[in-house]
Amino acid sequence: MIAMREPDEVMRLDRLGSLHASRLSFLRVLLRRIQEERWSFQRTVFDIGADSTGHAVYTAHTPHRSYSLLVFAHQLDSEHRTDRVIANAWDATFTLFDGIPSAEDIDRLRSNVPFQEAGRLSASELTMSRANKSVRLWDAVVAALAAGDQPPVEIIDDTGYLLRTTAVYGSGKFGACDREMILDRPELQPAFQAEMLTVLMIRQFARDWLEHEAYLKAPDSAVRLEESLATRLGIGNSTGLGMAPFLINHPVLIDHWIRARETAIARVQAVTTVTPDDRELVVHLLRRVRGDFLLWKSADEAQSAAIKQLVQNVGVLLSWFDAHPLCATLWSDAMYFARSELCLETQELLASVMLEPYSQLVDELADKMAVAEYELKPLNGWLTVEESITQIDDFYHWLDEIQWKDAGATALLWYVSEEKLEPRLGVRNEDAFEAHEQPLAPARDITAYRQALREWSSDATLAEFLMRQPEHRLSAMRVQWIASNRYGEIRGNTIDSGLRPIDLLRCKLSFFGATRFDPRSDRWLRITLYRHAPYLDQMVETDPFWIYGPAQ
Amino acid sequence: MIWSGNELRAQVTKAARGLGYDWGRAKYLGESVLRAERNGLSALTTFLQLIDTLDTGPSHLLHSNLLKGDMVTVDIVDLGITLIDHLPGLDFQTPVVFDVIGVPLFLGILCYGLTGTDRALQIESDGIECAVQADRILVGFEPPFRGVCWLRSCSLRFDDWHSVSRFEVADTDAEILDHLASRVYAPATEVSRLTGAGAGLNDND
Repeated sequence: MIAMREPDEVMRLDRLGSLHASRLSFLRVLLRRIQEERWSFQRTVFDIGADSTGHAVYTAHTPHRSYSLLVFAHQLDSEHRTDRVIANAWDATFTLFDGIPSAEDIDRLRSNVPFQEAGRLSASELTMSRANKSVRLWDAVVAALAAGDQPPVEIIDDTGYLLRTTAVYGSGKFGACDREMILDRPELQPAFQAEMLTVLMIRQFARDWLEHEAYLKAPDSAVRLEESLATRLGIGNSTGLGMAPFLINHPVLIDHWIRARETAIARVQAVTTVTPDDRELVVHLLRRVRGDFLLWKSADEAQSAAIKQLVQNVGVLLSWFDAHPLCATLWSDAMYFARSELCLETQELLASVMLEPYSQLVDELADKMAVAEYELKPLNGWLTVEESITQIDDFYHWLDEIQWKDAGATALLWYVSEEKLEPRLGVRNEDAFEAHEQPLAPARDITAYRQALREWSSDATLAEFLMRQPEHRLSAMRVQWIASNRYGEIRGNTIDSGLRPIDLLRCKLSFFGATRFDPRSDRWLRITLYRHAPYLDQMVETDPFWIYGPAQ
Repeated sequence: MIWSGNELRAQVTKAARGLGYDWGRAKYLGESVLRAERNGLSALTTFLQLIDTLDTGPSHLLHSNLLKGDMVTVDIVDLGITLIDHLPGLDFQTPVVFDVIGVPLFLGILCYGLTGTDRALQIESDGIECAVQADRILVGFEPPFRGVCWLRSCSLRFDDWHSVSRFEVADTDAEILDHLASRVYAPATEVSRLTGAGAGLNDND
């Protein structure tokens, strides 16, 4: 058995900011289930006029239930088109309905979903989302189709999506159904499946809406978008700071995600009977994804340089495979080579691609990527101060690398603006003050907790300590959670002046299955979901490796 | 207004923080109110009735209070949280007695405290008996707001049990929670609006 990589190696921000999608990414888990269970999809309503307003309903039929995406289309003035949480209007708004909505349901939701955070959902709704058009691409493709032409592939690849979601809310937000209420449904038990289903159906709607607009513009000449072009379009997503706190606030869940991936990597490295087909598949997918990386553009200088290095490094990796025939330690040798010679992006790409031939070793781990309520237990106050300090020393030894005396180490703070409750990151004592600080600095807080513990008698109980110093309760609980969930803590200072929140965002988005990470600053980025995936009418028979781009 | 469990938990947590609790106890309160409300107990109302009397500073209890029980009236949040911190070391073979103001919330705190364990506690208050274990509070009637509670250990029970999943919150209660929660939000400034989220305000591309 090969040992799993240690949290000290995996949970560094720069590595988390280099993760790639894998077989365990949530959208691939969903697509595998759709294929295995042969779900069917129906567009039952499409009532959108030339003025771009109206509604549509798409229904997914699983073996036991149905789920419907309800879409409301809107006219949006360009001055109101922003991806920020503070937006009040969008090109389209969505909800995933549990079942098939009646006319009364649609009327009720028409009065709420278009208003997003200002509306209210019921237990019948599983998610709520909204999206804006990528205006330049949308207009260019509609114009081409209306004229009877196909758009150039270059403009499709440049943007990669027609609609860009700016939030997909689930799990009880704004009155929606709590996740706990649907956990007995196998199709929704793995993480974020309702959200992934929502986005999958939004992608179909985007294509349908586009073709419909082209038809309304020129009924006599309009043509449909060719399949080979349509498949190159995913759904965009703008992700900002709101997603970053999630990774810090859910350490047990993050442990389960990272642990599942690391377990899969260790299992595959331990395979000693590598077949020629397994090896050939990995090499083939590396070549294929390198072709897709050549189309991955980013305005961000650092990301552009990283992509360039990634493409070059994948070439080096392919040469390494050429020079290394089959052997019993092929995968661990490849990982060792990558760790020694290649950039973090390439190391993590190899780790993801290497899992592909081994569905039997990997796929069942997807069921272990959710958290049960019993795991989120309150702290055990019966531990002694000495035992608590030992836990910190064992699991937080990396805290000693942080120089807290440097002004930059505590320069930032996380806060929530009263303006539509938008999460923000600001300069301490300038943009916001301690009274508004969110508990998102575990490195600083656990350092302070350890210092306070050291001033107590070693045989005192933690319960006694917290009776007198209750301000350390959250840190005390966190340390105990991390002691049994080692991959749950990021090795980094989340209030340092040099923090790049996009590293946190990319980690989470890679687990969703995002590709084409495109940082727009150090605080937000755009990504694409489902690029190269099949559309709803081709879902059952499709290439399982679609995420790596077209087969060459 | 009807709230989801997630909303109830999140809003109580923020309100408790706004009231002056540290984030840790605020989180405990959010979890505890949710546990009690899932079991049909009016813990949110209880919490709101008590907010003017709760002390958000360090505990006033002594270790001996918990071992022997204490008929002195104490802050229910202080008592409840301190008690569940001590749970691994308390066997409750001998009943422990407390004078409790805010029994529904107290039961919610105990329920949260038993999360992840296979222990159960029997609580008797003014002739009403209930059993509390990790995910459930088994009680025939709403317990009194104030009562002398006798705590002893008991066996786990597997009775038929119905969990509430939607929560009706009175507008006045929601307003109090919103008001308290708003204390944790930073005022919106133009600088923060432009730079705090990192993104721009116009995305016509």
